[in-house]
Amino acid sequence: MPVRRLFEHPTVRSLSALLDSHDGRRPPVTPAPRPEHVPLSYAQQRLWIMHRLTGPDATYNIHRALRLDGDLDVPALEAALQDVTERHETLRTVFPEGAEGPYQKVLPARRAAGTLTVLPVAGQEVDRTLAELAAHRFDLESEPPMRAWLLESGPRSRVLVLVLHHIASDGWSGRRLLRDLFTAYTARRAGRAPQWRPLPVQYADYALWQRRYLGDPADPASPAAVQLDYWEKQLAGLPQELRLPADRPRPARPTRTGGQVWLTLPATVHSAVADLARTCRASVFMVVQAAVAAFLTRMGAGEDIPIGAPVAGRTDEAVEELVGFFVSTLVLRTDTSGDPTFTELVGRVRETALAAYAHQDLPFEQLVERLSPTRSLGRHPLFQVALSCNNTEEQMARQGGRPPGLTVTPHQVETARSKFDLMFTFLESHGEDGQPSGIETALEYSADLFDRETAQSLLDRFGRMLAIWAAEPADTIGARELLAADERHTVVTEWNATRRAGLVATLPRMFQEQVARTPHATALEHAGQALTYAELNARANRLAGVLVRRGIRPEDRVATLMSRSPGQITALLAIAKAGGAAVPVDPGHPEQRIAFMLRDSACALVLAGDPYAAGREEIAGVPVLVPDDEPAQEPATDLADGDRNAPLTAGNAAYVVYTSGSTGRPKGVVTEHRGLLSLATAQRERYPVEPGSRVLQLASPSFDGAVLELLMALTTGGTLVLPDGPLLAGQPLAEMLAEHRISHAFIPPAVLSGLPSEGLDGLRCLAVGGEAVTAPLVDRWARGRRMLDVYGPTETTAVTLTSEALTPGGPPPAIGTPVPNTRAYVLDDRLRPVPPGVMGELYLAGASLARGYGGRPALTASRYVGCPFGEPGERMYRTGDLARRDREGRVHHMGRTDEQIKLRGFRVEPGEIRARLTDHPAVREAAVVLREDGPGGRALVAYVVPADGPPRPTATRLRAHLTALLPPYMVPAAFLVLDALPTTANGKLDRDALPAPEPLAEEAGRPPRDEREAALCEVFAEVLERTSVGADDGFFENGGHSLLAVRLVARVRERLGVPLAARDLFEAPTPAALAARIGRGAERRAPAPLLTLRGRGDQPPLFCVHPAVGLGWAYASLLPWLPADVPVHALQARTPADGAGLPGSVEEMADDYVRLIRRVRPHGPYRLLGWSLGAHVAHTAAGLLERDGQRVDLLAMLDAYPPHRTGDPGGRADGSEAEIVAANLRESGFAWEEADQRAGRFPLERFRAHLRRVDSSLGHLDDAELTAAKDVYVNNVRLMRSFTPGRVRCGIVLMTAERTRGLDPAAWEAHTDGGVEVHRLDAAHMSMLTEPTSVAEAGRVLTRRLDSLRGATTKKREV
Amino acid sequence: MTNPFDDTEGAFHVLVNDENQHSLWPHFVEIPAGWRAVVRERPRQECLDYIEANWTDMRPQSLIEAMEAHEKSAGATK
Repeated sequence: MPVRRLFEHPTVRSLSALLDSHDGRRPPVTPAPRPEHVPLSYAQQRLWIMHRLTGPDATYNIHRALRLDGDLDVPALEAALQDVTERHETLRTVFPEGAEGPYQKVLPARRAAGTLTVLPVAGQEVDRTLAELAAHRFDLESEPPMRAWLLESGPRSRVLVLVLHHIASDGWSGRRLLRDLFTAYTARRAGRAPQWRPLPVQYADYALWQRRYLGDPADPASPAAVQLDYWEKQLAGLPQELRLPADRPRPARPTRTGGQVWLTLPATVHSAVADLARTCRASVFMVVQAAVAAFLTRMGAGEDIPIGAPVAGRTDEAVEELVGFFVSTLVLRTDTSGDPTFTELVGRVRETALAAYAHQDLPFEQLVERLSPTRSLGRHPLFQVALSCNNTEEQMARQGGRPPGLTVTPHQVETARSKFDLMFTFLESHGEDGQPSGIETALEYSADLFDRETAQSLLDRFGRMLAIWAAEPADTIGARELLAADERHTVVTEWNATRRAGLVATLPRMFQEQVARTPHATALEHAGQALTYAELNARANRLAGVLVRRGIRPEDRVATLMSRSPGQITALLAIAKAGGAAVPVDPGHPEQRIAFMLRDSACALVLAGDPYAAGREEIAGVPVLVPDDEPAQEPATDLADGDRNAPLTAGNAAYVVYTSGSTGRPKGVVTEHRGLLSLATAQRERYPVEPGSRVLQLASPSFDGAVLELLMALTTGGTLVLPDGPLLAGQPLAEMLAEHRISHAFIPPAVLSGLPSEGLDGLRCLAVGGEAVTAPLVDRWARGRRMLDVYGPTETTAVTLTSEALTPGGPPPAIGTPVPNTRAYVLDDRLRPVPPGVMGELYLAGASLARGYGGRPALTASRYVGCPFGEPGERMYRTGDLARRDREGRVHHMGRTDEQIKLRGFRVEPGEIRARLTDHPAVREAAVVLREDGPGGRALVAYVVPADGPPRPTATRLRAHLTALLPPYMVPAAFLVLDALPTTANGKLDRDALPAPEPLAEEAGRPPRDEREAALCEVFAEVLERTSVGADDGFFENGGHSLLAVRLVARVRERLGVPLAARDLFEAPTPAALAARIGRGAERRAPAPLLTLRGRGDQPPLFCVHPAVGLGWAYASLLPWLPADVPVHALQARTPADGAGLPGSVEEMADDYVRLIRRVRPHGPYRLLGWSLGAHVAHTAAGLLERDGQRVDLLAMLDAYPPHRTGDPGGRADGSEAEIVAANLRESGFAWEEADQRAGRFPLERFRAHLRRVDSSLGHLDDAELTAAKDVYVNNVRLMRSFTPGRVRCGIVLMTAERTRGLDPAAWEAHTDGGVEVHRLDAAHMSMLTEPTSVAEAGRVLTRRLDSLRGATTKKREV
Repeated sequence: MTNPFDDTEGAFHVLVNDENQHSLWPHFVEIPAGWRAVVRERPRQECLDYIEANWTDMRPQSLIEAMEAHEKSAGATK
């Protein structure tokens, strides 16, 4: 064992560890017979391959520069160089390629000579010349791997430069080389040859030995295999890349340029380190390694820190004196988790280091090959930070001997190359007495990632932490602040100096002040109409007056259920003027979600526009007010506090905006007026917006982005331009921007990236935000206009940080600096500010903070928390965003601490979608992730694990389920069924193991035949939020529901200019069928008596009989729940317009329907379903079919009961028919007032509203249709009065609506031979086929029955 | 990086400021100026339950007082 090793391992324990290792069994390196071609060592081989791949390159050069002051004997030096070249074969070895790969070819000494070149160089040019020489590119196949230059800057002033390729040298070699060189020089200067002990072996002997010793890794007993095994275990699960506080992201193509910064640690620190090493029975190297690992952890690199460290690789005494490439690299993996004390960490480091040393023979390159980490051109494999304790320079100067007449000092040169992201080098020095006298520390950094200032501050900070930890090793590594006092002041105070006095105002005041400044300027533009500031203000004042009279006062919540329109803007202003807080609700959201928002925010009133109001007096229990355009009786003047029901202050709530909630419940953020002013001020100053600016209103009205746009225009004198129609993107948006000469817009990056940029010169200011803004996006859009990145969660009033104007060609932009009166803090996990460059979590404070989440105190208290930095008692909001601040204080967004997703500018909590998915009875477990490789690119993908038993989850069912509950942007684009969700070792969801969805997970349907079909396919896809829809794909099959049907019909009307009605879609629910219908001309006809809701399928069809209102549409909601191979038809009532006229009895009706049914299916078995009145008709029809000898194998009923007659036949004769009809209608929830009856009027509008409650699509019937429906309804109610059901042979499957049921299911027993199977559903009679949960339940019951009828058939997976 | 406020295993305080705003607070971090602990070193859920039960009016205290003062004076003038 080399004696040197004793110093490396000064304790008995570590020595014994060494002895236990392979060291004890390593055979000695001896001179070996040379084969014809001597192979390269493994390490050499790797460099040779890289040389072959990249061509001659300076990356692996090692250079040494020595200042030689005094009398230099140049010929003696030249001779000495020849002597060392003679002595060390490596210095004259070239590496040509033979038949079996490269080999070592040792040249005769004379042929390799002539290596010293003398260059006269001016003193100040020395460093530059040196850098040039150091970049010499060796051709390894023909050129000896060492070059020497002598730079002469004066007669007694020279610098010797030795440049070697790493293939022939290493750090340890330098000392031997220089010692031999000076020994030879001394001898040559005295006129003789050097007298040195011959070398026992040469490098070629070592290379041969290495291959012999390590053996074949395929042999499990070989040292190679044993060591590979060790490292494989040791490095399992190593992080791919260490996250460092870099200035820039890693470039795709690294330049490998670098730089170096220095720091001298004083003797006191050196002594403390040495003392601690002694106490811990560790080496100085181990203490330093522990400090580097702890430091990296504190700098945000995580708690699993791999550090590369060179080891000498000279495990045999015989090679001690050789110059050559022996050094190897060990990956020292340090576990810094659990916040250990520094002493404890040194202990951990010591253990891993000793074990690593014992397995150091394995060439690093073999390790890399075996572990095959994901290779990236940009980063070093397995580790990116290296550490080297390099004492050779000091020792060289001391032990190398002093050549006579010369003073030799190392000439420090900065390397311009860097192989690693960071490399720490430590050089200990000792006084004459051998006591520690300081540590020279260097940090080599990759210039691809770091600026010099950053590297220097990193090293300085490291020095400070090392001093602290060495002096107080009982402290935990997380205990001490990383920032020096001045740094802390910069980060906490200077970068947040945003205070602005006198910024207190309410939204009405800000707006009214602008009205006073520019009364005649245009405030709003919409559909060719314009309103001036004065006009808009007058309208808002009048409506505010109405609201005040309705009792609205500060802190009252008032919802606006309106789409983007002047009316909605007026309503928002009016609510604020009255003192209330607006709750903007997007009418396009599902009914359930709308109802939730209204209830959750405890709205006092909902301002609803048509068609959403449509005669409703209340929505979700909240009274509805439809604002008049001109409530003339109210004054048009501004409201003062005395006009309100209570004074309005900047501390009052201004609006409530709902955002996705991770636990499954949306949360309402209550914003106060004070926050709006900071936002408006920032917009005025940074954008800037001014009179004449034309601002686009793009955001959906229920997002705070819309408030941002409103403020942008209406507090600055600009014009807010409202587009017509639905959300805009792509070409239509570009056209809109150009046509309306928009000058200012806020556009999410996802929309912007799909927007053609030509012809938009008028767009002078572009604010972008909501998700990451990429450099290419900036390149494309920042030219010729002001482009800003804006950032701010709803919780801090929409915009809290704003960037400076972005410039093309730069790195990914920052999200900016805080707006007036707001502050940003990037904090670590103990709420301490982190240094610049280090990632932490972003916290925001100041005037922008919203009040909190309405009605959610605990949630509020866990997100809005005490602020240790501002005024006493202040709060700060923790954003959940990861961020870092650069050296200028700009905040950069780095991702999320949680799962929150930004998708097309929408904020989405996958937890909310997951919760809704697991609500579905078919789903046991679910995961929702955002995938870059989803359908159509970046998209939400849902993974579900099915629950036991039917129904199977299918994409169709799940989409339908979610569409009814969530806004469209939260419905995943693809659904995948898995047997189980993949998990990581610690039981968390393993996202990487989730399979990618097929590019088009939906089965591709038939392509359209003609333009009309193509247009319809597109509209279907748009409304259904699908990437594509086939021409024969059914609307209701694919998540369509009645409200969407209304939207689709409107879109078709727009797109094709064809007047369709919702019922056309029910009668022709595929693009192809609808196209054919349009082709025939959409003439007004009576409703088709038989709807084909689903035409495909080889099972016997299910026939559904309409309820009293006569339309069969309601059954469409069942489609997603029924087996895909069962066709579904719905029967509809004849109307007066129909030739046949209204039926005179239920029997007549049933007889008519049996004929229609048999036209579709001439023979049984038949399957019938009926809801309410439809159940009676179905029952009667079943009897008719059975009388014809046909089999009915399913008669299903939704909440119907035989008429309950208590022996009062005479009662029927009482009162007028109108009264009886009215009474029946009342029972069904529709009040027909006596006054109406007396006047013989039928309240059509209220009937419309009533129908809407039953099925919202019915509210969109035109007057003729509605009147027909009324006639059918009244007739049916009349028919039921005198109807008594018969008896059928088939059994009855009865699903009851338990919430409203008043009758006994057993009453059916008297009307069937087959028995009654009762399923009690948690449902209400009227909403059985609209409320998603009861639809699902009913669907499940039917599916089970239908599946059992087909016998033991296999269940298909539809996904 | 686990946010100290999200540590379900950790011990927390409940802090209250002069506006009667409540804040969850990790026990190992110094209590910031202007806040006082009304619950000390209890499990997270217990703290949340306390807040849910006790912070029933989320308006800042100064706003509550101003609005009540107005109610009173409005009532007096009627």
